[in-house]
Amino acid sequence: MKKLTFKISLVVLSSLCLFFLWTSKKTEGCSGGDPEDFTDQSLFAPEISGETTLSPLFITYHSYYNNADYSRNENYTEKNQQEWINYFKKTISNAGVIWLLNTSNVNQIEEIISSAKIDKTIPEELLTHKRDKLYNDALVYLKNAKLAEAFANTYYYSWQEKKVDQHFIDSMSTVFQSNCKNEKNTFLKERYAFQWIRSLYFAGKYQEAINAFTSFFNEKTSTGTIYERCLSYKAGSLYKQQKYSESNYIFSKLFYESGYCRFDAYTSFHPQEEEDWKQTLLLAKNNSEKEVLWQLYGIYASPLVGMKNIFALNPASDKNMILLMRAVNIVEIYAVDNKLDYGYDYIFSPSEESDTSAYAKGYSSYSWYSIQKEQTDTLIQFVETAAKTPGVYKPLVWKTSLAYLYYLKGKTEQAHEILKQLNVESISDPLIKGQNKITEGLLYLDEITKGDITPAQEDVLLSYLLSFRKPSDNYPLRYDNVHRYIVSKLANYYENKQEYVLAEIAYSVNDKFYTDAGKTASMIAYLEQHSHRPLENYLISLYKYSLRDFYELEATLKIYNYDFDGAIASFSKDVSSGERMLDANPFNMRITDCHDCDHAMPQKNPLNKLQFAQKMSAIKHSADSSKVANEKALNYFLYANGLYNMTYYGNCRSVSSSSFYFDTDAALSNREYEEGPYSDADSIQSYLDCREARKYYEMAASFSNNKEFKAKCYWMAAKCEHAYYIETGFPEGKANADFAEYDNYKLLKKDFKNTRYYNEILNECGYFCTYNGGKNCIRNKDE
Amino acid sequence: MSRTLLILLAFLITGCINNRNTNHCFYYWKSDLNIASSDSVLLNELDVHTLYVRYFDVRWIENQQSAFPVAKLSATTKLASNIEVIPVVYIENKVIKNLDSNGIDSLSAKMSTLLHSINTTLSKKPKQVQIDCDWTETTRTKYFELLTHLKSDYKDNILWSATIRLHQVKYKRTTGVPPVDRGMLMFYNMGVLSPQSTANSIYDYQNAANYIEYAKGYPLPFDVALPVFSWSILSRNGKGMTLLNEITAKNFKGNSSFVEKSEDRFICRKEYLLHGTFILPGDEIKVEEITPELSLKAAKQVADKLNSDTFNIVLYHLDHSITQRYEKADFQNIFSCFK
Repeated sequence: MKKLTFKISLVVLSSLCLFFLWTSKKTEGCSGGDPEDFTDQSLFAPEISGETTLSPLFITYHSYYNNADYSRNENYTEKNQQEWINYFKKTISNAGVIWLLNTSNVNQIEEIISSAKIDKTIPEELLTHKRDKLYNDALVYLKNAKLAEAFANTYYYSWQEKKVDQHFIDSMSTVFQSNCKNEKNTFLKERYAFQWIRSLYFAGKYQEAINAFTSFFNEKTSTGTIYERCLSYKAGSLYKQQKYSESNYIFSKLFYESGYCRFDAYTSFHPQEEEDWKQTLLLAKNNSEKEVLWQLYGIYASPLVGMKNIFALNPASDKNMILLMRAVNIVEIYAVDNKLDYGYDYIFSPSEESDTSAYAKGYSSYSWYSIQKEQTDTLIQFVETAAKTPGVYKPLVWKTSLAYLYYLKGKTEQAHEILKQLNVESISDPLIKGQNKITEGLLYLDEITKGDITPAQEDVLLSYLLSFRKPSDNYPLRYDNVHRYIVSKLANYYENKQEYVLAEIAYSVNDKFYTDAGKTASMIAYLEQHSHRPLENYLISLYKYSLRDFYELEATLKIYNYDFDGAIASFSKDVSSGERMLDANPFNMRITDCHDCDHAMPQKNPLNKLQFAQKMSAIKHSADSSKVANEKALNYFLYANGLYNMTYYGNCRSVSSSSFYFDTDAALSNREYEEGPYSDADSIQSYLDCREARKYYEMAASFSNNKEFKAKCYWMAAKCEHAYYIETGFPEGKANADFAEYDNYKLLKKDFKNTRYYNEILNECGYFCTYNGGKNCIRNKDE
Repeated sequence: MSRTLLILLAFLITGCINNRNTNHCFYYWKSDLNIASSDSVLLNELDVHTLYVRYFDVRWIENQQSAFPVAKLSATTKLASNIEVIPVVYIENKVIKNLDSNGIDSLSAKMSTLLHSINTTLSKKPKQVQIDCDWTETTRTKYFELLTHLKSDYKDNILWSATIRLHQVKYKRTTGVPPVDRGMLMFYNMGVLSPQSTANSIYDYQNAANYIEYAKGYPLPFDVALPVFSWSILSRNGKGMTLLNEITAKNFKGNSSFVEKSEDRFICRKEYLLHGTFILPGDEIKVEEITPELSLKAAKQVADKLNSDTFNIVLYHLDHSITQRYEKADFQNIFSCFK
């Protein structure tokens, strides 16, 4: 028994290496795929706050939550289009207006103006439209506006030089100013004002831009989109003049009030120095405006500091909701180790790119580091105060947050106390109730894993796990993460109890498990058991491998130990385990290998792995038992072909495939390139080892009297020899030899020079041809 | 007295060496080419007629999966005609890492076009272009390939130089020697940028001493770049957060929001905003200041270690806050160290 285990272990290890070699390296980090987001780790859903306006600012590794692009255009474009549709009094179709605004270029507008249709893509209705003043003036405006795009709407990522054509901007600015002054139509007049102010900004004439704004709007306030956009350029001009206090104050107002440029205002808000910030606060006309400033400060710098200041101004303020949610999620960044495992194809590994620090270097980088372990108690103290303050906005959200913060900090008693106060079952808001159930479940897990989990406790935990399944993909509560977190903690518990099989089933990330023959055998034995407890059954149902996979692995290992009867027996435990198809006919051979050709060749009776094992066993049996030399020779030759083709060098590497893709060991997978050949011939992995095939090629030759056949056998044996030296290094003194001399080469040269096959080899194999001193070999024909 | 002895004597007295053909220069590293008039005067007085001007950075833009130039130079003022420009392009190592051979080929063509375009805008015809990249052993082949391509794509017959960091000098066997005409020995940013480290990461005599002896044996003729800049490292809970450029101890001394922990370390005790950076209570600042004295010390340390008699001495970098902090004589002392 002991011997068997040892053998299996060796085979396991040897077979693992073959997987390494032909499984492409796992995807590290995020290259080529969507990066992991914080939302794949967190257990706390900020959606419980009910905050919708500022939800893009919930914690995420992307610029905005849910990867939404809250660019001004997306919001502004629709509104602008509607305003233009209204301007044209529906004399132009919506599609025509959208084409004019978004698709057309200056030349096309000019063609419409001059009624000279050259460009066939211009919609007919725009050319045949009645030439009234309303239409003509709009076309003139649009032409100028599109000209201004050249300096006002440049693409950031470009290999073009960033050029400022001052003269052009100045001339456009003059046109816009003059048209603004003369235009009677309010709609166009406002737009000219916008173009005028914007062109002054791009001309670097910031004070003039501010003056233009003041003169046009005459300090009146408006809520229109044009007013807000002009105000943005005023704020931008003030910023360029280093008048940060006023600039940031305006941006804060736009952030709060503007539906069209809220997030542009957010990204433009940049307090610079302490004094500026103090002045900005002084500019706020009331507490509400101050709250908005502290809200922005909270998002940028520290949610805790922001919340404290807002709370001091107005405990009932709703502006703390976004900050509270950000604060709790920030604490999670450090407190919850719940990295996502994408499985064998996509194993997340923290790297420079995926480190939160790299992602968080967006607009609010500093706030990401504002509440780390060291500051959690201070946050808890504040939330405790806020939660019990009468009149606080959404007390349920504060208490829900507090219960979870207590859990994160390990303050179990306090967490239970808050949950008791909340009377979770009675909460009518499903998200808040669900979030508290999560905290309850997490606390329960902590409690039961302190001792031995009883079957009754398992049942309760199972009911929690079953309730943490998402009803739909976009359900806000982070049930998937919670579920993964719980089973991973459960796996830790099992690991500590040395229940390795259960640990692996609960949370299978330890691929090394399968390199241990003993553990693998235990797994098979466990899965073959007829009765499991409900929690075990549940975990087994989620486990990524099935018995079928293990049978295939077991059989595969036996195949590479040349035990084909054993492999058949393993496959027979579940016939589906042997159904993996081979890429090519494994009994074919060529003078020079061409896997692609073999794979492309149609197969009459393609084989699966079980059939391959059966054929190999049958061929070997026929060869061994036959009394006819030629029959023996032919069967040993076919058998050798099968052995050759199941190695790395042959056409059926898929014999080695299974459901198991193990943790790539760089040293092994790159061995050929970086570590040189195996120093010890006995350690060659069977997948790379052609010696068994060579043995049977030579045996086949020994039973035959046919020189052509023998030449074929010795040629294949020579290929095996060559492969061996690739794996182990070339013989002494030939390490750098271009054309090494092998035993079978010598034999072919000595005894088979006159065979037809020998000449075929010379024609097809440049290596052998050159070795033989050929001057016109395939390899060196062009030299 | 022999000539060697005289030189040795001169060196012992002044700490500097003589009789070499040097050219005084500055790096200009901002994207807006706008030199204050007082700085223009200073350049003249310091006999600086060459500026190494950063034209653009090439960075890998993740969401575009491509390399693009960022912070492209925008010339709001014309440079004086007597100022010679050596364009500098900084290439992020990640760009080289992520590009294949075709990508390198096309990057070289695009860089050349953009270099020429900015030359035209500045009305300059540079005699040298410098490429700055902290290449590594794994990127050296592709980086060197890029340099070779650039020489042919740029077409004008000019000199090419590349920045060489101290570790690349010492480990030239593994990091290789770039295929260019000259190397710019970067005699700064030589230490570990860490809030915990006690040494100054910009320049530290002992740190430099571990590498500088290898400079003589480097196969490319060196120009030398010296630091005249400072920064402070802001850290929170021991983790470095950001660098505060040109922020020195004077920004914190006597400031009630900070407590002085040591000569170069300050702890924030009340929220504070500084140059757009939010500093929170508990945050620590490590000041890494390069004083005129330290700049001079660096110059003296490197002066006799160079492998060339004709070279440029380049100060990093021309910035009004630096020209306010250094006296004209400070710059002169640094330059004269190599005479």
